[in-house]
Amino acid sequence: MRSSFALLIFFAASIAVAQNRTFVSVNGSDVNPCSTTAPCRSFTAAASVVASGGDVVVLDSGGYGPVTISKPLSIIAPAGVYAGISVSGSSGILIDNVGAGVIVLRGLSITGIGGTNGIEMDYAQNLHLDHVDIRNFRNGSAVLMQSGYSDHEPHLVIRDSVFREVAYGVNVQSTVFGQSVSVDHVRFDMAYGTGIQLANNASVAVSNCIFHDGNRGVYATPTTGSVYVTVDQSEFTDLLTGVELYCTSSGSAHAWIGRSTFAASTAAIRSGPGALISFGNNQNEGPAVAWDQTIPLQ
Amino acid sequence: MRSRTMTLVFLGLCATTAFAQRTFVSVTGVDNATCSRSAPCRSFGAAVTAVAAGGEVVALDSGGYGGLTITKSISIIAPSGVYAGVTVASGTGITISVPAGIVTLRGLSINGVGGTTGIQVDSIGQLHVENTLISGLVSDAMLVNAATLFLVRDCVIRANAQGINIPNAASGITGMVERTRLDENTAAGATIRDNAAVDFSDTTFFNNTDGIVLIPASVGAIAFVNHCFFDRGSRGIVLQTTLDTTSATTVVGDSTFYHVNDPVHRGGIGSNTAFTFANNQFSGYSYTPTFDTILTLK
Repeated sequence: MRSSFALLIFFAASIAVAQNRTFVSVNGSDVNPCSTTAPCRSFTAAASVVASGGDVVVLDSGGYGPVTISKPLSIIAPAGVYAGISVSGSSGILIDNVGAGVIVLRGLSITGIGGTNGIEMDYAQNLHLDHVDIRNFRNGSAVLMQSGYSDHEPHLVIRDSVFREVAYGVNVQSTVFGQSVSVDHVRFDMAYGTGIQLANNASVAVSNCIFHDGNRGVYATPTTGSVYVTVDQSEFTDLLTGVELYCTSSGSAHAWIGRSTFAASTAAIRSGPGALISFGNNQNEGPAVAWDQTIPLQ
Repeated sequence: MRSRTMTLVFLGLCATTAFAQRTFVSVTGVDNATCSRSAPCRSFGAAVTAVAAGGEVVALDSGGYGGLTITKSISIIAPSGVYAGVTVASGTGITISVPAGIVTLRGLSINGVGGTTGIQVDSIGQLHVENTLISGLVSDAMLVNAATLFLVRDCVIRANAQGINIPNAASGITGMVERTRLDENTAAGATIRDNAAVDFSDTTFFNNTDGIVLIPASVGAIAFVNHCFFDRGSRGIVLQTTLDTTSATTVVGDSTFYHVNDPVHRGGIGSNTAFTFANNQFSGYSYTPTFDTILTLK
């Protein structure tokens, strides 16, 4: 009897002290302390117990449920482990009330089953997605970058990921300070819709990406402020338009495009203030592009 | 009966003193002298003590295995599917001091929560760091004080002060950084000083204050940059010499600099030289990059 009392105290203590690393397993339970030997069942429980800046680790393959993240942390499913989130509500992962600090999501599979968005980044400065597979959000975004964080320029970095059957792959809302996005080795199979949508003051670097089967690959629509786009070593195929800059009111947009291949009805087009700039080393299988400028390689 | 027990005891002693070619860690293990497959240890430290020189330490399942000091040639391997964490709450996570030895670190997650340095190399013949994540260190993700050769391959080095920091060295250091991301390091992605030459290929630098800094004190430093992507930040490659006898040299080919304010910064009073293969893409800069010599493609 006394010993079980001691155990109770032990568990109470381990729950109260935030841990640098917590664990989830399909054999876990959310009443556990989310330790490696007593893992939790859901991301929500493991994210609430982990220390700021700590890691939530997936031990084995399964579904771990939608989660709201409100502090810097990493959620990591190592290669060989499938960690799924099925989304029937508004967003599978909502990141809000974080402020400064880095959030990392690695190795997750997020599937819409009537839900709106895969990942929604609101009041957070810094989100990194590695090896994330998001599909079936035909009325929403794989990744929605809201304009909530207005203290500094927020950053979104995506690499080695696949976004499929979505209205928007990456949907970047407008902010005063700008939103800074880096997308590397990502495949966008839109079915229809847009790969990367950019509003006022957003900037994006796209490298080693494939945009396939949709309306537009990259679509900038500023009504005020400036949008900057660079595209390097990427492929745009089976699209209506590869890169479109559509500037209205006082918005302007610039795109620098190099080492890329276009098999689209329109490779690149601009309307309104800004410029379409080539490095003179693109491959275009469709109608010629009205480049505003060609910059020599240096 | 007695003889069999005696034999077993004798074998056990032999195994302890002879060191195993391969030792194991598990979250269900307990530190012991052999760290065998059936009786794994709990910490990298114990498994490294138990393994033979030239042997392998293998992580069997996901968990944290603690910091350690390496003083003999070994490999520490977390296979795909296993998360092997090293939390650095203070000081240094992994210290390596093996003159002329060979050490491999594969598949680790090194996370700074108040710690100074992720991996500190005081001496090594060859160091291979593969598929490893190093983040959140107050000072350096990697501090390479002395190394004949170090290789960083398929790694993510994120949100530290310095990514790869190489102090002035008495003898030559050769480094190779391949398919790696150096993201959001507040000082620099890599800082290279006396007697070091580092080759960067297929590597992305995102939003570091500086990408690569060459700042040798009295002799010289070299950076080869091939097929790299510099995405935002204050300066891309910095050549900074403090004595007129010092040289800082870079050779840049097939690379892209996007919205780096000062892509190739030239400073100091010594000799600094920038070579180009004239096939690099620069966009959105404030200071026009200048090169001394154009190397011809053949």
